[in-house]
Amino acid sequence: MTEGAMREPTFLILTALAARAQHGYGILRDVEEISGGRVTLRAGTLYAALDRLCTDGWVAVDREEVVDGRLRRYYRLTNEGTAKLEAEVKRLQAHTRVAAQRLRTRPSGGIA
Amino acid sequence: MNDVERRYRRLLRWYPRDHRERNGEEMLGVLLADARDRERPGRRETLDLLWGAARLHLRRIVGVDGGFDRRDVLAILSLLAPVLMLAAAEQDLYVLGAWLRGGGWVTSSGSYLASDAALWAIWLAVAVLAVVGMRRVAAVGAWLGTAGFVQAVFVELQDTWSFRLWTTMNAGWVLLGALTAVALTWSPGPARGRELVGRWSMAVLATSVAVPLLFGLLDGWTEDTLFTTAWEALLALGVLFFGALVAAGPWSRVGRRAGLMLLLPAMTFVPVVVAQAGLVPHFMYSLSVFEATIIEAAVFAGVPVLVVLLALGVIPRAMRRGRRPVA
Repeated sequence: MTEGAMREPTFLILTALAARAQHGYGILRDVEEISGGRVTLRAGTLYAALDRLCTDGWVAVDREEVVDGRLRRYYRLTNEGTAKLEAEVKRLQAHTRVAAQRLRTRPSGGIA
Repeated sequence: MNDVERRYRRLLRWYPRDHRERNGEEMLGVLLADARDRERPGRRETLDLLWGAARLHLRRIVGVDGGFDRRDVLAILSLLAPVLMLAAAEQDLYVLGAWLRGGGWVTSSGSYLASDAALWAIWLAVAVLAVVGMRRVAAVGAWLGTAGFVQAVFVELQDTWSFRLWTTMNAGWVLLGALTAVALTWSPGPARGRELVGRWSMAVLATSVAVPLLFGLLDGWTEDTLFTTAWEALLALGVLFFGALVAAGPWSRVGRRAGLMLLLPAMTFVPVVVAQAGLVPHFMYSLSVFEATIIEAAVFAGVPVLVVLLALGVIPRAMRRGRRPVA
């Protein structure tokens, strides 16, 4: 049985954490930047996703800081999370490659 | 504390307690940073927070906490549940015992046995097919067997209160039958289940199932009532469900969850105890047979499912409590 495709918010959160550990607000802003402003995550969605990703072992708490009297917790990608993201990237690449090939063979045109 | 912070704190109260303790202050920091100059949470933000809280509550209640493969739980069930289902034949074996002896039940129980025999033949075939690994055929049989159970327990309406109570007590077996059919249809199958629970587990379960069946046959043979004493019933059912739990492998996360689901028939005894304690709402007695049976079916099938779901939720919650954030 194969695993299903990763949901977009999950993919974007894992991508935001791929290069470095980030705190919650940093993830929100980075997701907006990665998606070119198309996806705006909110705190409720982010923390429901982080709760699941931490329990699944894809994401872990890296460190905590107190900034201006507020707790700031940094999250990082685990090895398992990295493997899942890599697998999803390969899956998407394979699909887009085939989609591009098919579009090129269309009699009425193709992709730019 | 300003007004916007107070409003966010009020919204965060909707989150599960363990999540609030671990992430509440952190979430508040993110919300306030994102709020900038806003004086109150926006409508979308409010809905997002409430939806997030609902998702976390649901995740805790139904135990969808990740960390284990739910298909593995179903794989264990696809191996063990078909065999456990056979234990529900104890009542028919009791009638069979009396019939073989030629007691007073002979005339009436002959036809009673004939109608149930086909059902038990199906479930016996399902158990054998599951054990030898022919899951697809076993799945078809399990769906047929479940349909037969629904017919026997809920559709063949009985006229008297006591008899209806007796039949709805079997609602747990109907649920386990449906779960068996689901597990055989959509899980990786009994072969994967055997890998997870080990080879001795089937022997443990088969022995446990044999105990209530033997009690049923012997009680019928000796013209006794089924489970003459409460101790006898407790012993037979205790051995059965303890054996089922051990067979599922309570040392693993998937095993504990599979074991809990195998207890579904035992959960039916919760509403039975309530009914026998005289706590049945008075209006039930004024309802028609059809109306009362619909309500009973909902209660006797609903309570076991609720108990199992809540119990499934307790496991991840307890684990979360034990996992404190980094200091």
